[in-house]
Amino acid sequence: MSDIELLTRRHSLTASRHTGTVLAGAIAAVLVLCAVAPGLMAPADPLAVNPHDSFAAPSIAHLFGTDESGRDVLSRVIFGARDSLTIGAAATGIGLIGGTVLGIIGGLLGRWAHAVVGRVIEVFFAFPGLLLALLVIVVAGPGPMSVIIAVGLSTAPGYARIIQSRILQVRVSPYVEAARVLGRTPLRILTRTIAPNTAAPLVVLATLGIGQAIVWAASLSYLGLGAQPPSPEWGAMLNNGRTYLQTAPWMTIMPGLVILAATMSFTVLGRALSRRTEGRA
Amino acid sequence: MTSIAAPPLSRAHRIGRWALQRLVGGVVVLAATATIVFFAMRLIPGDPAEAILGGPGSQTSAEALARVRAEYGLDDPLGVQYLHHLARLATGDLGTSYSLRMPVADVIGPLLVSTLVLAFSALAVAWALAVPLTLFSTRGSRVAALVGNGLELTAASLPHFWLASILIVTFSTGLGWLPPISTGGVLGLVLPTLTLAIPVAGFLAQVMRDSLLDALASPFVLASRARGAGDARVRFVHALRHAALPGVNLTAWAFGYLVSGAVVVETIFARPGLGRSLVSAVLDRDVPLVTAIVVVTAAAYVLIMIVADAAARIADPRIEERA
Repeated sequence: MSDIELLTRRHSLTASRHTGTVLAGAIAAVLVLCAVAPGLMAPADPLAVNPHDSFAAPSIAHLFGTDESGRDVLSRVIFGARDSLTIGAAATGIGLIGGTVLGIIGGLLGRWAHAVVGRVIEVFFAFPGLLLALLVIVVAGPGPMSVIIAVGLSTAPGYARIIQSRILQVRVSPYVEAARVLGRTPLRILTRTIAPNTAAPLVVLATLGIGQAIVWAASLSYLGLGAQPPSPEWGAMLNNGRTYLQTAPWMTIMPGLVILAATMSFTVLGRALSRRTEGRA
Repeated sequence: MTSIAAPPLSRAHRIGRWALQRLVGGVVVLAATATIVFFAMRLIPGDPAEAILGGPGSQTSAEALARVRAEYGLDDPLGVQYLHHLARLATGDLGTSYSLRMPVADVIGPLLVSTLVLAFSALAVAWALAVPLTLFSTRGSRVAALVGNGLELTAASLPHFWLASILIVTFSTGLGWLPPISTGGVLGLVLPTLTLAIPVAGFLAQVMRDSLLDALASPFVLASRARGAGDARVRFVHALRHAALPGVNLTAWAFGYLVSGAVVVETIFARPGLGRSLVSAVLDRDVPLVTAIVVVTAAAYVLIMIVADAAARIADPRIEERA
């Protein structure tokens, strides 16, 4: 196999990657639409109980089947998109803000700050991730707000590490050196040169992070620590479906497939963004 | 480093000194985790003495509460209690579990073994799945690359709790091959292992695929091809070795991921282990048990990171120069 062959193979991969990105974008768009206007998208009321129609397998009438009270699973998943996406986005926001603050302290304030932040990050990495979330929830009480804070705090050290190393990289870059030689003030260098070059990867991190945050939040709800029934949050739906796994597996399979689709599409979008920003830099 | 006067140390010596520094740093990390646990457990609403006596709602007399407070030193200032807590841990005394009323050291031993068995079998299976997947997706055909990338992405995105349910529905309820709970025995280990291994295999394959493609496009591969090495030899002997290094680094990271995953997986499969006990211990406010579980997992993580970094330094001397 020659180098030319290798190059063309990578080229043909780029084409199929493009298709994947478009597909992922479409899925993400539908999910966001569900979160914004679930009433428009859902075929039925997510809380409407119908005892005569309980545990119906997926059919034309109920594409995702019905649950133990005869509620339409598809409609619940659509209404659950609001909770799940909001929790995922808010948690990622908290994680990024925490990570940026830590990263700026460690990246800009000199050697001591760098050493201290490095140690703090190391401690949090040594902590089993779910434990930190668990402690937050036990202290604050179970609920969506606690899950947002818990997942946000647990993901912050990871972001901090990436942001810190990015700032350190940018600080010694030729263009910052050039700005310094040109006599720019430190504040101007910080806001005009370092900030924009550090912020681009943040967008990528945020996109990649939302998918992970949705899964984390759903895991906590699945353990009964997050959103509580009858909320149609996806993890809570799976927790509910666990009881009926043997008799009504669609109550588990269908919401799970949607979680999977959400995570995958945000990951694909994040990677596409990452390739674009890297290409530009 | 720009040492001027110091005579150059032998490489083994330098790695040894570096490992010692890392170990000291690791002890600091452990002390910090123990500190966080101590204060976080204090933030949980409710009376710690009541938690020791069996949780809120257990009709405990005022005298019993006072006795427990005196016995556990709960009337001392918080700072004094904290120092006692650290001093006990430093001597290796893990204390007595509040909820199980047994020495924590006795409780935690079997749990640790159970979780380590699960984690290491999951890592082994993850590697066994990831290497063929990587080789398949870099075969050179477009279809293989697409299918391989799709499989990696799907595997890495699977939530543990959902994957576990799907495996139970398929292999326990449907086919009846494997038990849905994991109370010991090799058969019971299969489904929890797969649940943890499949996502890790996805991550591993992604990382190894990228570095394998880079290695295949590098001058040293071209050189060995020019010397007449066959495709299989180039792939398996030269390129895969390069691709494996990021995989080894990722394995250390995966351990932390597996511990978090174990919380969910052990709960679903009713398997005894650190993860499942952690949830119940936190809910029971069992401070000694939570502390022990956290310090033990943190210690394992710190050790694995040191071993992985040392392995990377030995394999790739350039890392030392960069540091």
